[in-house]
Amino acid sequence: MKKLYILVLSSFVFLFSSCFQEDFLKDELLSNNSVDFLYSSEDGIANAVVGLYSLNREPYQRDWFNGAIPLILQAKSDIAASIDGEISLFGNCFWGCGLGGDYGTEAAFGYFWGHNYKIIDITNSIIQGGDALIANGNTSAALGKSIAEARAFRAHAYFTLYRLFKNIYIKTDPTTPETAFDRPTDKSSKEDIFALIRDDLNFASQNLSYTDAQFGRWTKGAVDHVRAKVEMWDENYAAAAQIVDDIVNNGPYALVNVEQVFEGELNHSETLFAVNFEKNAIGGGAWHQMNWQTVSHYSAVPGLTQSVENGGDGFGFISLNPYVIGLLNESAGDRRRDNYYIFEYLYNDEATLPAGKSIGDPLDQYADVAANDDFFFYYKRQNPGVVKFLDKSIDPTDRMHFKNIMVYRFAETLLIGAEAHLEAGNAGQALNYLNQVRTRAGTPAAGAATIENIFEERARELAFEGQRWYSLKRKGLLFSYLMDHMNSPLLNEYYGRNHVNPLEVYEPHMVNLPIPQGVLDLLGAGYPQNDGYFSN
Amino acid sequence: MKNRYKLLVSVFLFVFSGLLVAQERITGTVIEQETGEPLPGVTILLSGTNQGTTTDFDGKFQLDAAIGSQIEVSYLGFKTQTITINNSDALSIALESSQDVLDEIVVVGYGTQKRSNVVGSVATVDVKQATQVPTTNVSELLRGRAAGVQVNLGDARPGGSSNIVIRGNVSVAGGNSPLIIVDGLPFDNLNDISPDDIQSVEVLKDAASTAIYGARASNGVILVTTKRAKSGYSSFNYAGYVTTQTITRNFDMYNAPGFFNYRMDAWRMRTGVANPPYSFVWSDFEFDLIENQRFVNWENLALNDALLTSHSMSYSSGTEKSTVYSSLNYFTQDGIIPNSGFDRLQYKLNYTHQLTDKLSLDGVINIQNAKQNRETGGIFLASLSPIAAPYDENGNLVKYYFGTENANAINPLWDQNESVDETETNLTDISLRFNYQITPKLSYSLKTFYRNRNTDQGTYRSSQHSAGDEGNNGVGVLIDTQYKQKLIEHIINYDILDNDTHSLDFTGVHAFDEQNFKYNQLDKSDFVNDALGYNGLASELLSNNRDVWRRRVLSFMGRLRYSFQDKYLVELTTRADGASVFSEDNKWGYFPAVSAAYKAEEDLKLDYIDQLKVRLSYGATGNQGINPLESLGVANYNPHIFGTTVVSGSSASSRLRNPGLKWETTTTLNAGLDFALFNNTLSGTFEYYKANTTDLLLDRQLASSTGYTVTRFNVGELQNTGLEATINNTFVSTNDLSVDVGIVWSTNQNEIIALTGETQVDPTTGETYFIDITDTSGRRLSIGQSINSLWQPEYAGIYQAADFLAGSPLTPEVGARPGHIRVIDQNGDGLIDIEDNVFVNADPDWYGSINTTIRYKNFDLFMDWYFLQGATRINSLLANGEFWKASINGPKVPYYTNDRPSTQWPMANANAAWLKHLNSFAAQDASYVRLRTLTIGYNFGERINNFLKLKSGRVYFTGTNLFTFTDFLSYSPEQDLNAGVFPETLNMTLGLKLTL
Repeated sequence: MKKLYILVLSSFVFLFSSCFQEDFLKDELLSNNSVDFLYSSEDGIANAVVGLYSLNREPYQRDWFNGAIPLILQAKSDIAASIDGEISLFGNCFWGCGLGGDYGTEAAFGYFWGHNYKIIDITNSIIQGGDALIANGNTSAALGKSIAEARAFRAHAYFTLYRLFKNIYIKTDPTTPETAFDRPTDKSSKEDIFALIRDDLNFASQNLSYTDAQFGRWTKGAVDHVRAKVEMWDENYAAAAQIVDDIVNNGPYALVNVEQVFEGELNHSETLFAVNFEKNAIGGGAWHQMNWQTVSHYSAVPGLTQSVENGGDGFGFISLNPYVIGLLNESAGDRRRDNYYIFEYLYNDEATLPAGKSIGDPLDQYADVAANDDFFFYYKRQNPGVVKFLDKSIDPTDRMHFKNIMVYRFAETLLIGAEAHLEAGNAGQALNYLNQVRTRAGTPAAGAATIENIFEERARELAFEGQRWYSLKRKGLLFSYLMDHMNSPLLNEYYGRNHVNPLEVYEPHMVNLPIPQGVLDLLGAGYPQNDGYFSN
Repeated sequence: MKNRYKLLVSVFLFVFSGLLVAQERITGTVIEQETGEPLPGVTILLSGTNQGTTTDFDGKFQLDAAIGSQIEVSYLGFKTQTITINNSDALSIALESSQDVLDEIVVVGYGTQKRSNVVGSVATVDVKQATQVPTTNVSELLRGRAAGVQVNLGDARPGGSSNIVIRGNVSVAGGNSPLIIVDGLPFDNLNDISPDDIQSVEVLKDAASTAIYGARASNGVILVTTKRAKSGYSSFNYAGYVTTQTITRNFDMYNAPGFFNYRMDAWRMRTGVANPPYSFVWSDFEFDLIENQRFVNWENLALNDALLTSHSMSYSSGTEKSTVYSSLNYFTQDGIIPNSGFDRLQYKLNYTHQLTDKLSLDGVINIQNAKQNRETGGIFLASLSPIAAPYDENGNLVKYYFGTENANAINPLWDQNESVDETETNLTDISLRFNYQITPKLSYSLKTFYRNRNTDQGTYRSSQHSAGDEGNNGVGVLIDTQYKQKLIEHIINYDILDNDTHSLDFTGVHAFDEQNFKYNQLDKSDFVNDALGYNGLASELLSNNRDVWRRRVLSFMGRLRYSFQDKYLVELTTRADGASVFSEDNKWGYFPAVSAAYKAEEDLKLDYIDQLKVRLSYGATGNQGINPLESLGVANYNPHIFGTTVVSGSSASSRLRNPGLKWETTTTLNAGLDFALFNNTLSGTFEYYKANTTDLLLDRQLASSTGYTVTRFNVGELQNTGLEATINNTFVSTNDLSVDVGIVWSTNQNEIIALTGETQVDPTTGETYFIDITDTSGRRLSIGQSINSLWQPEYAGIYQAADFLAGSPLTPEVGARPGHIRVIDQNGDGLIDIEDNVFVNADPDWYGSINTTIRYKNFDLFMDWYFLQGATRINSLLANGEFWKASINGPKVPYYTNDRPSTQWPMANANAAWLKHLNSFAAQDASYVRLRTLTIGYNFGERINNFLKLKSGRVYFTGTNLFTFTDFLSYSPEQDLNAGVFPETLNMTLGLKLTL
């Protein structure tokens, strides 16, 4: 019996003593890294920077609203025909114009706001942690490069936020539990915002080289391209022209053949910055469905079936409008029509071929006319589409594509240069840059560069690459261009019948996006909404 | 001499009586009326004599008695019966419990207690009534069985589960599931228990009863005790049943002509013309189907009346030193939807052994293997268009049921054939408990418990499946989880005093509880072929995930129970818990409780009052139901491919750490009244409680400009108040007939008392108000409201044409038309925006059940009606614009048209932009009354038992969910119509119970 006593007693002692060991109740990370690791070592910072690239890819993968997020600015530009689906609600001002606190504003613009600020908070942590390492004597070049990439992301996020929302505020310290509920009560000034952006971009430009073994990372060329855009926005045309000339003269960039621009992985001499996708690869991201939205639903017509030649799987939600189609049709030799875009869908299905049609005939069943609302099917099923996002390696019936997405390319650099030189009074260089782009496309050289023809060329060359809305807004042309030729007359009228005619509700103040109510609710009292929008 | 004379006379008398009175050999069996189990050791006496016998292990006896004489059958705890011997047929005697419920022993935390001495709020579930429902979802067995216990249907699929909420939601984010203790061991899943093994279920509701479980007890405790063998008795039991499951719904879907008209009406409204062009409304493919009258009845195609079978065998045997209860259960259920099903095999062993005078051993072993099959992607039959072609002309299933030109619409039946989703769970529990009686008054127990649950889930989608897997040659997902729980408890019991006036005992516990969880997931593709499913060889790894977490709780507990003259009862409990999930400096929480009761019947001394006890308790319990790591900063893996190079990357989680995270504490005041009147024929309990939860674990949304979306905070206060009543009445109780009625009734009011304390100033009125917050599940939390509230514009009917005429008292919303949903413009500014939102409490006003048991001779009838009143739920399909656009099918309703204005149903309109305020409309009254259970049973009489050589036997029929009365359109008022719903079914069961 005594033995049992001893057993019981000793088990008690053992247990109690083990229990009071300090770390017994410690909460530990067993399968996750700590955020502290991310910002306190060179390896951690390199890891966090890679995480930024994944975050940067996120908007393209968002499958909300049938994948509308990466096409919203295109829809809000002057060259889109908004036909169907959620994306068309952004294109015709039913969503996103701040009318009655609509869901599109709250969800999509709230996402834009939060996504960019998330990148900013992470870059703040990286920059603070990296600077501390340097202050402690770390002189590694890799660390300097990581900080440069982070600062490029931070500048780009602030630049994006400013261009979208205007009334934004600067925050350069990482959020901590103590500061999480601080509520800013006022926007930052444009001067402060641009000073921060310039400072970050200059640092990035100085610490990055033109090439990187890993395709898709920020390079000096990509950063300088953004620097040129910043100077354009601030109307420092001479500075912008100088930056472009530097890229042209010192960078490894050149225009490639029209056929090659959107071919394959985009890893060629014209690309400055692209977002990487890879199907079935760890780190390859989820799919995007931009092609599905920008190619017409031709396969609904008997005699046509999905094929790579016809642009893969399309559902005709949004595409080129008559204005930009007209621009592309101006010159018979314009080779972009059949490479960046798809102007004809061809009969290709013997089994369902209607009488009177042969394989290879172009689809011409519909017309852009009011009778019987035929125009709707014209746009939905037959209108030219955009194949810049087409993944040719995917089954043509599959809407989920893994095509790399072009963000900045040399052709745009040249067109920025053309505009900058023109504004700076150097018409000759402006024309030179403009005609490099025109010649490459197989169109005749222009006789002179003007703001009008530069913007027309931008439309032909860069349609749906996401820059149009910003450029027009920068130049103060957005409202007048939209009033002149947004969507198409019949589509505008059609939407008026259903809910709102964008021509009737669009107002000049809408060039700034409304700050969503959900965002304002969590900011300080009195934080300014953009002018013109009433706050709930 | 005198003695010799006496002897002579008695011999003479004996012989004489033997000659005059015909003595018969009487045989018989005595069973327990409640359970049908034989009763050994029952005393059988010839009336007025001391001649008699006792029953054997099998409840059998034999006795010589004269016809016409009487025998008395008596047994402690049962009503004595007097039976007249009319013939020599074998007797079957069912003894009724003496119904002295007050002497019944109930299980309480770390011990037992005589019911009459229970001080806290403890409800006992009638297990026999509860286990009439054929299911493995044990939570559903408790529905309506105890006051204050609300059961919400979770997943009605085979192997699914429900959620139990005891006395309302006391926590916003910390979880509201009660602590489940089975045979003294914490269970993380109530469904791991086989219903056939359950002996008793008690629900501990107030802090005084639950504080002894401190850490996880703020949501109440459910104590389950499984069956154990009795000393000196052996039996073999079989229980089996077969159930058919049938879909029920209180609505019809549109058939093909109806759906044709519905969609045409939607387009009439959209286009404003009487005959919208067919090309707008229908695809060429659909139009072809309409012309050729090729339609589908999806329910006929996809649903099967499915079978459910359960067999359970148990063996129970006890000697003086050892007892063994062992059971084997097999349960198999097919779902009404193809590819769904559940199989489970369970083995259980409960044994006890007295090693020495002082040392005894108590052991539990549970082994289980369960397999659940799930359908792929959900088949939402109610929403499928009847104008479709799931089969081609040759009767072959096709992939694109709206034609190949609509390649995004995949035939839902197609995917079922192209996928597998199986989950296999293996569970092993081992518990050993050593009890050592140090002195007669002092004992020590060491309780150890080890649980191991491995779950292996495999899903496979073939290359033909629709989930975007084209060109992948099959996608397999393998998920492997390991869950381990270790528990060690040291328990000391000390009977300090036990005399006529004073009784005082002490219980002390030191406990250590650790849970480990490991998770592995592999996604792979490019399989050699589809033949082996997810077990096949694949060449491409799509992703891999590993997740490991651990939580530990360390506890010290003490309890004193004191009674004075067995009339005044007092209990003091305190518990200290340290939990690993909290931040470094806030690990420990302290939870004291005090309770007292007064047994007034002792002083009243009234004949008709058997019990009148008032109880009062006050105490605190804690909640640690949050995930580990919330006080630490976590980085998520976020790798990226550059060209063809994959580089590892990480991003901070969107949840911001809170290094100050601590316990959430619920303080409960409970007042109760227990009564038993008229010889215990009328008994019951009334209770009132008020539970306040402070330092709420609250997920707080952060401004997105912080870079985070959410953080966990301890802030605010939540209050639950409620009333509960339990009443049992025995109307008739005779040997042949008994009628019992029980009523269980509960109400709970949930109210937010305080939130973050942050204020804002209303720009128009200048008033300062406390800000509302939104939790991560999207609930709007506001002071004065229930946490289960909808926050949206208030529905006010359907606009009628007259509302738009001059002189109408209404000012219609801008853009509204007749047939639109009208909501109230609360602030009258002509706009409907968030300023017009109102709170609608979604919680029920009250819920309860009425159950009736009628027994006539060997027949019995049990009926259980369940009531839930005043609940509001959004019916998802009615809130879905696609339904009102007539893009998808749904409940056939008399919707508004210009020719047939409706005041109840809005118009259909193919333009979604015109469909506003659908959520306001679809927030509908989900009150209902349901006949949950109807059982008719027959207990075998002596003849059948003898013929079959049984101790007892029973056959029964049970109907589950036979009738439901509700306005809520769905399969079950506990379910709304949404894409993920697995319909709850109407069940008919035929069952058999045998004891050998």
